[in-house]
Formats: sequence, C-alpha cells, structure tokens
Amino acid sequence: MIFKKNIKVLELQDPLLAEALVRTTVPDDVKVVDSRTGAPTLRVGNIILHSIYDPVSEAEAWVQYNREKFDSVPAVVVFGFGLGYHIRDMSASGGKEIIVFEPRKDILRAAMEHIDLTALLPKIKIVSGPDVPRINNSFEILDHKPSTGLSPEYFKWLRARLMVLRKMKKGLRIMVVGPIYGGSLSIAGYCAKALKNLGHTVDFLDNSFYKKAFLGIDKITSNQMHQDELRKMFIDFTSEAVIARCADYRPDLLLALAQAPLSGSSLMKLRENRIPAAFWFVEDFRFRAYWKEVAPFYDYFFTIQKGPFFNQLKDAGVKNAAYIPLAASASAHRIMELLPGELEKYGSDISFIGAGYYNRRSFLTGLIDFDMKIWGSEWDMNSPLSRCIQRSGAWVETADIVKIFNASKININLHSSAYHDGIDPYGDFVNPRTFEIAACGGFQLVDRRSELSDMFRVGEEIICFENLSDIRKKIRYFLDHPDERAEIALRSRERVLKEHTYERRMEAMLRFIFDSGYEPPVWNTEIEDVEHMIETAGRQSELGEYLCRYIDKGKICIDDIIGKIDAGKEPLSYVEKIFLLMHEMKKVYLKR
Amino acid sequence: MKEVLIMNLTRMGDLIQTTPVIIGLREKHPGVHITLLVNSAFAEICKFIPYIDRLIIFDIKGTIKTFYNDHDLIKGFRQIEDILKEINHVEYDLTINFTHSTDSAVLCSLIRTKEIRGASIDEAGHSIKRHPWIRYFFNVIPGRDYNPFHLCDMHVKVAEVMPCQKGLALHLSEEINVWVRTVLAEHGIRDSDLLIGLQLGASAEDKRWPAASFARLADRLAETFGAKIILTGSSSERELGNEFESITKIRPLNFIEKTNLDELAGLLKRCDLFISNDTGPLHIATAVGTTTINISLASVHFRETGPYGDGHYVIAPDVPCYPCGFNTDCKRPICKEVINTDNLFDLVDKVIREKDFSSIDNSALWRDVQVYRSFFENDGLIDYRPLIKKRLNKEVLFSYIYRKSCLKILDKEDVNDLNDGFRYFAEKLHLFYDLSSLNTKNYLEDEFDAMLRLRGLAEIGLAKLTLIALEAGKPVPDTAWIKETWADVPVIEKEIENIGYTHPPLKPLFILFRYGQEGLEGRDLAAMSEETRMLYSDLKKHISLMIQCIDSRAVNRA
Repeated sequence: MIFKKNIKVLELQDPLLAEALVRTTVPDDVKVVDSRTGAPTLRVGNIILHSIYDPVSEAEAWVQYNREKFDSVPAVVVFGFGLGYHIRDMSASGGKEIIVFEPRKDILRAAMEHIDLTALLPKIKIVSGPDVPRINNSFEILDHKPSTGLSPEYFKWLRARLMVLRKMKKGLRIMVVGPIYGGSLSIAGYCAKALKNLGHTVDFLDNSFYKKAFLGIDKITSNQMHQDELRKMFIDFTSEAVIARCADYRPDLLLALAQAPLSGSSLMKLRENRIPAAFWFVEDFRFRAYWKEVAPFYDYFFTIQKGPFFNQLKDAGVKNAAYIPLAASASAHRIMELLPGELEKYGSDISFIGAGYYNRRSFLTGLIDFDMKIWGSEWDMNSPLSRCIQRSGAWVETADIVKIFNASKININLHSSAYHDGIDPYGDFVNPRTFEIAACGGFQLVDRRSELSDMFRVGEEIICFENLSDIRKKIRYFLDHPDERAEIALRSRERVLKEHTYERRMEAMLRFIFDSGYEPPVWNTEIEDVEHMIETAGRQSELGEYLCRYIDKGKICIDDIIGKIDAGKEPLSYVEKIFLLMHEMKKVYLKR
Repeated sequence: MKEVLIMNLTRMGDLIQTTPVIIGLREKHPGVHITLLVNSAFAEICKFIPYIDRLIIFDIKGTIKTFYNDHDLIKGFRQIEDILKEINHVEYDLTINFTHSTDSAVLCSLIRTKEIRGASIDEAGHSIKRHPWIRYFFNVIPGRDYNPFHLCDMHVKVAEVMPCQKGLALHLSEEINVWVRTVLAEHGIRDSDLLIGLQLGASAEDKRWPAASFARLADRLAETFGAKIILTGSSSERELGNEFESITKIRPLNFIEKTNLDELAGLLKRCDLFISNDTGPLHIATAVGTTTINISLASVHFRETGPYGDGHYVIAPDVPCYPCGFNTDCKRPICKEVINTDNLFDLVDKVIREKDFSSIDNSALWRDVQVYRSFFENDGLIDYRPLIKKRLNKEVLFSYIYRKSCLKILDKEDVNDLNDGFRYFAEKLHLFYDLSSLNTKNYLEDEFDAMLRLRGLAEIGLAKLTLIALEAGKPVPDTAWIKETWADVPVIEKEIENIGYTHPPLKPLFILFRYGQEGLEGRDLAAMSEETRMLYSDLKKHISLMIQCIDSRAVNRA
C-alpha cells in the first residue's frame, strides 16, 4: 500500500525510475527490521544503514553534523538514500536543491515499501543511474557513510565526476586561442569574457598581434607558392607559440576559435600531453573546408550548423561534436543613448553593416531609393551603392557598430553568400549580427534561415524577409510603424539576453564537454583542493575564512589567489600580503 | 635606537658588505640590539660577522619547495607565519632592507617596525623605496656609468652612520690560524713563503678571467718570486681548477671544495696577496686584511662592488663598452683579452716589489686597461684612484660631480657651501686624469644647455607646487583651483623625462626624481603637495649644484 502511494508520487517526478523500481525485487540480504523505538531500520548483509536504537534521532544528529555545509550552499548532493531518514530531516528546512545518489535500486525499493515518502519525494531528486544530472547551483556533498560503504567504487567515481563538474562550473583554467584576423577574432574575445564572467580563469591568446606580419607575406613575394610556404611556416610558428604558452599557463582546457593558427602537429602535442582541446567552428562548413584538416585533432568540436555536417564530422573521425549557435555579448552589444550629433552621423532609415559579398552587392542595390547607409569593407566604390557606402568602405569598429545598430530605424541583416544573387534559399545557420542587433535593442529585417525559428519566434520577436519585393514592403511598413518596431525589438532583445548570450553558449559548451567524459589534464598537480585547504588551515582561522571565497573554484593555486587580490586599490590584509610574498618568492625562484 | 633589524637575503658577498653598517650602528648607538635576517643558503658566513645580537635564518628555498614543489600552500603559508613570528618577536625602531627584490619588499611590509628603509610596499601593495639613498641605489642600474658610490657606502648612507673603523670586518677564531699553519706546513709551506691565492670562479661565465690565463700568471709568479699558489673555491669551481692544473707547470695547493668558510677565511688571511674575479672570497680576503687584486670584467663595476678597504687594487678594462649592462650576452668578451697575463703580472710585480706605489707609467702594456688603488676619501667613503693617467671622459667627470652633489642633496647638507666641489676639480682630478678634454671646444655644451633647461623646469615646477601646497594646506582648500593648476605639472614632468632620457649624464637626476615620486605615500592632498614640492626643490638644488660644478670648470679654465 505504501509502495503504491510512493510510486505514484515518484512517477510524477521520474517515471523511468518509478518503472525501474516496480520491476526491482528486494533480495534476501536486504532486510527491514524494527529498531528499539519501533521505527524501521535497514540491514544490508552485515551492514546496518540506520541506528537499530533510534534512527530518527540519529538522522537529526547527522543533519546537525552537516549543518554548516548545508547552510553554506543552495544545493546539496547526498550520497546514499537508505530509508531516507536523514534526507527527510534535511528537507524539512526547505529552500534547497537536494539531489540524492543511490545506485542500489533494491535499497530504494525497500525504502518505498516501508516508509511513507510521499511528502519527501517532490522535494528531492533521486539519481540511480550512471548519468550525473545538471546541478545548476553550487553544491556540497554530504556522505551517508553506511551507504557509501556499500558501494564504495560507485561513490568514489561519482565524487570524482562531481568534483570535475564543480570545476567545470566555475573553476577551470581555460586558454582561448583567437585567429590572427577575421570575424571570429571578436567572437574569441567575447568567449574569453563570457568564460571569465562565469567564474573561470581565462588566458586569451590574442593572435591579432601577428596580423601585420602575416598579411605582410603578400608583399614579400608575388610567387604564390612561396607565399603559401611562408604562410605555412608562419602558422607553424604561431602554433608552437600556443604550445609554449600552454606549457607555461597549464590550462585545463584549450578553446580555439575558427581560423586559430594551430597546426595538426601542434594539436597532436596537446593530445600527447592530454590537454583537452575544443574547437568552435563559427563558419559555414560548406564554404570553409579547412575544418577537415584540423577537426580530428580536437577532443570536442562545436558547429553553428545542424544536420548533414554531423555526418561529415563523424566520417572525419570526430567523436564529440555538438551544435552551439552564435550569440551576442551583452556587455559589448547594448542599448546606447546617442547624442543628436551621433544620431545624425550613425543613423538612417535603413542600414547595413558587413562586408560586400556578391549577394549583398546585388541585393542592396535594389534598396537604393531608401535613406540607406552601408558600413563595412570590400564594397565596390564604382557601383551605384557607392553613395550609400560610408567612410569609403573602411572597417568599422565594434563601438561604432553598436551605435549604428542603435541609431538605425531598420537594420538590414542579409547573410553572406558568394554565389547567390540575393538570399540563400537553403541558408541554415544564424549569423552573429542577428543576435547583436537584437541585444542592442535594434530592429532588424533578416533573411529567412532554417535555424532561425529555433531561436526566435518569427513574426513576434523577429521579422524575416523572403525576397526583394518582400523586404521593400516590410521596410515601408515598419518605417510607418515605429511603435511596432520598438515592441518587436524589445521582445527580441529580451530573448537574446535570456538565451543567446556567449555566457549561455559557454555553459552549454562546458556541459557538453563534461557529459562527454572530460578529465582534467594530468599536469595540474600544483593546484590544490580548496576544501582540503580550508580544513587544513582551520575553518575558523583567518586563513581558513579567507580561503572560503574560493570554495566554488574547487581547486586553486597561488596564481589564482593572486589574481583575485585587488592590489593597488584597497589595503591588503595580512593574509593577502603573505600570499603576495609567496607569489613573489616563487617568481624569483623560477627566474633562477 | 634600541632595536634594529637588518634584512639581507642575498649572497655571501653582500652579507660581508653589510659589515660597515653594523659597525657604524654599533659606534653610533652603543646599546643597540641588532638582528640580522638572512637567507639560509648564505647563513654560514654570519658566524664571523661581528656585533650581531640575533640571527634569524629564513629557509627560503625550503619554503618555496613546500608550497610550490610539494604543493602544500597551507604548510608554506604557516612556515612564513612562523618566520614572521620569530622576526616580530620584538618591535623594531628601524628596519633596513638591503635586499632589493620584490619578495623582500613584501616581507618588509609584514614586519613590526617604526621605520623602514629600503624596498617595501604600501598598504595597497604599491612598490615604494624608502630613504633617499635607497632610491639612489635603484638609480645605479639605469645610470651606473655615472655612479661614484660603492654598495657598502650606499648601505652606510641608508643606515645614516659613518663608521670610524673603515672597511669590511669578519672575526675569525685563533684556532683557525693554527689549523692554517698546520695544513700549509704539511704541504711544505713555511711562514716566510710568499703565498698568493687565486679564485678562478665568479657567478657567471662572462665575469671570469680565463683559467688558462690564471695558470700562466701562476707559472710566472712561481718562477719569478718563488711564490706558492693556492686555489680556493667551491664545487662550482671544480672544473676551472682541473683546467688550471692541466695547463700550469707548477703544483698549486688546490683547496677547491676542501674548505668550509672558516677555513677559507683563515687561508685567505694567511695569503700575502689574493687575486680574484668579483666573488664572495674577494670580500672575505678584504675583510681579513689581505691585499687583493680584483679583476673586474663584463657587467661587474668595481665602483659598486670592488674591494672595500684601503690599499687594494683593481684592474679593469678601459674600453668604451665596459661595464656592460646586466643580462647582456656578449659575443666578443674583449675585456678578457685586454686584461692579459702580461699586464696583470706587471701589476702583481709592482704590488710585491714596490708595496705602495701611486702611479704607473702609461705604456703599450696598459693600453685599454686601467689600474685603480682603493682609498677612503675625506668624505669618509671609498674611492678608486686611477694609477695610469688617462684622459678624463664624461662618465668619470659626471660621476665625480654626482659624488659631490648627491652627498649634499641626499644627506640634506647645506647646499650653499660648494667650495669643496670647486676644489675637487682644482686639486684632485688633474692629479689622476688628463683633463685636456675639458678644454675641447663645446665639450659640455649640450649637457650644460640641458642642465639650464632642466633647472628652468624645476623652478617652474617648484613655483607651481609651492602655490598648490599653500592652497592644499588651508582648512578648506580650493580643490578646483588645485586641480586646474596641477594639470600643468604632468607637462613639466614629461619635459623633465625627455631631457633625462636624451642626455645620459642627466638621467640619474631624472630617475632619482621619478623614484621620489613613486615613493610618495598616502592620499592626503596637503602632504602629497608638500612632498612633491620638496622633490622639485631637491631637483632644483641638485641641478644648480651641478651647474656650478661645471661652471667651476669654466672658471678654472678661464
């Protein structure tokens, strides 16, 4: 009777587990017996999971013992269910996310049969399989020692995975490698910033430093073969520079953006040293085929396109690939109050920002009778569009782009194509501009893309156009309806800030990496476990209290501590000065 | 002054060079209790340093091993706390940090003391250099061509003492003299034998005179004077010793790796002459009273770290690139060629035969080489008198000018009394140098012009800062006006910087000024304004003194 009631409640929470428990039988060595107080207790073989005298009082004591840990975080992970006394007591406080891991379904079944858990089950999540679920909050692990003793290997494995998860959430050292130049350069910067915002320690390798030298190769010789050879040597050099930097920085993960100057041989070195490497290929795989050469060397490959690309990646030997669409940077792409002069300078009825690809040149010519400004490079100044082209087709900085998005009544967003006259009828991925315009609070008309409706409610949050005639109509309509423009732009912005920022993308990326079995590199021995450090230092000591601020980091080293010390601004504490001293001693020592 | 802490976490030679300070403190404050904080790697020498009341040994390497190699941050942290507890057992009236690294600066800030002199950090972690002579010390690196002061004298100035007992000091036990006599007798060396010690090593390869040259010199010394040769050194000199023995015709007494510091000091004391590169044993020999010849090569500048005592000799290259900068990777070490067996033998010959000689005739043998003899000047500081009369160059001329001006400015002496400065040029320099270059037309015109401009800028800056300091000192200062007036100050400072960088002889002035600015602490507007005003005032006085020195040259010529 109790079992049926419990299962009914569990079905609402986790039907798969409920079904599994219905099918589970309790073996003979799992016995529920009465304790001295009459409350049931559980015996598994020779191990008694709860007190045979008073399991309720014992559970109260267990909760009391773990009170400090419990109070310090919004989520707790409990190792072992038993008959659930300790969990019931803990859940009484309310307000916490409680995840209970219990690998033995026979124990869960026994609990369901003998204890009324109907009030408890809606407040907790029970995990009995090999998957580690999403835990959104920072968490502490509480051991139910008799339970962990029953399945020591499982809980050892689980603890390690949770430690990695904790690290993945906030405490990774990540090296972001950007390209020498190109569109993915700014994306690399946004990724680095987002990862920092998520609490990770980030080293952004900005290879734009080499741009002048790299592009200068064209001027050295007109012989194409020689140019190619020099470029290859250049990439070999920058590639080795990344490896050298890795050896110095010791990242837990390397994230390379499209066009990052990393050769296959360098990526092999990363693999030999077991440094996990991820690649975010933020380009059209049909248009840029170089991915085939590097993809097999990466542990994790991320694309902005769904569908057929995944089959090709599989054929190329890529094991872990996932779809991560582009996004906006909330700090870079924002609403701005513009001065009248700026509105005059950057504003127009319609505007377009981007390079003068073939399809854009022809399509935009059809809008020439509007008050249109075109910003960006690679435009033909001898074309009819020339009177619309701003700054003679010069490159536009992000700061100006944001102003243009803000100042334009309608921002035209036409995805590039080198071989369509206007819109690519089979276009799939969504470009960064879509998110950036929205994040700036700008109104846009965008060409229809197959993946757009996954991200926005077309017609409510974003307006698409199908062809020239369609866009001309919509331009006229929305120029006449500024309030409607503003409402759509607002909805679009809210959606982007909620779901399509680089922070969300990086979270998804790291989650995928974790789910794919990520293991931190072996060289991280200098880094120590914060919890252990606090215990060693004494939780109540000045040092212990100071270290508590790193609890979410999982593991840290002296450099992490120094990175957080705000030297030069506020007075340093005694503890901070000693850490500073240790850091300086280490520097002098390494120099020698 | 009751409790003084001296921090010196650097090498053995540097520790020995701290002894004049310790002596000076003891003379000036007879009851003072002196604590010396040292790096465990160099603690052995401290047994022989006199007047130390308490020695604290910091195992820096061990601590780093704990928290870095063994990955135990907490244990490392606690080890530092332990050493801090030991250091801070008492509160000091004065802490002097003679270590110039950033880690020592941080450590200094953790010490319980009423006053700090040396590198430290302020409450927010900004680097600060406390005391004018410490700022001068840091100035030596960018402006060393013009530096006239020995490291020991800079130390003495930082401590604000002037020891009557001159030179370095180490106290050896009587037993060690007996040991030395016994060991030498076992090798057939009598008390009457001429004993010459050679130290083949140095901290870096470029600072080492070749072992082969030492070997050929030893052969000639043995042949000419019947000298007995001993080699001293540690394990790092083993290979050099082997090389020496494979070349020389004599059988030297090779003590490399065979002595502790006590025994080494005893042996050096017995030597009649000790010839060495820039090394710790050079300073030990100087401290125990043995005449030394210092071979000064590459980046080693004898004026900074040469033998600190009366009557020692330095042989140094007289080539334009000497001394080279720190951390340079010289591909043609010409200094090892210009100092050769012939001229060094000739010098040793003079030292042995003539004992006290005041000049060497300039001949082809001394081309590209200069020999100096150390002596204590009337100002109480060491100087190195050139023995071969050669043409005075701008570096040396300005170093003498700085010797006069810095003593007045940094010691806050009466700057109006410049007679001594004039006399220097009139009476001394012409004895040591060929001053004909000074009579070359327009010889100092550029520098003189720059100095006048610099003085003008200092005057403008001083005028502005005086007004600002006056306003800032009012109960309710007009901050808007101060801000507006202060806006001109960075422009003046930029111009001062330009002159400093474009006229190398004036660079030390600018660097001192800049370090002074970096040393300003606190956020109180009135105090900051007043301190900045003082910096401009010092700059003006300093440059005015220098102008007068240059003018005195003109006066003399006239």
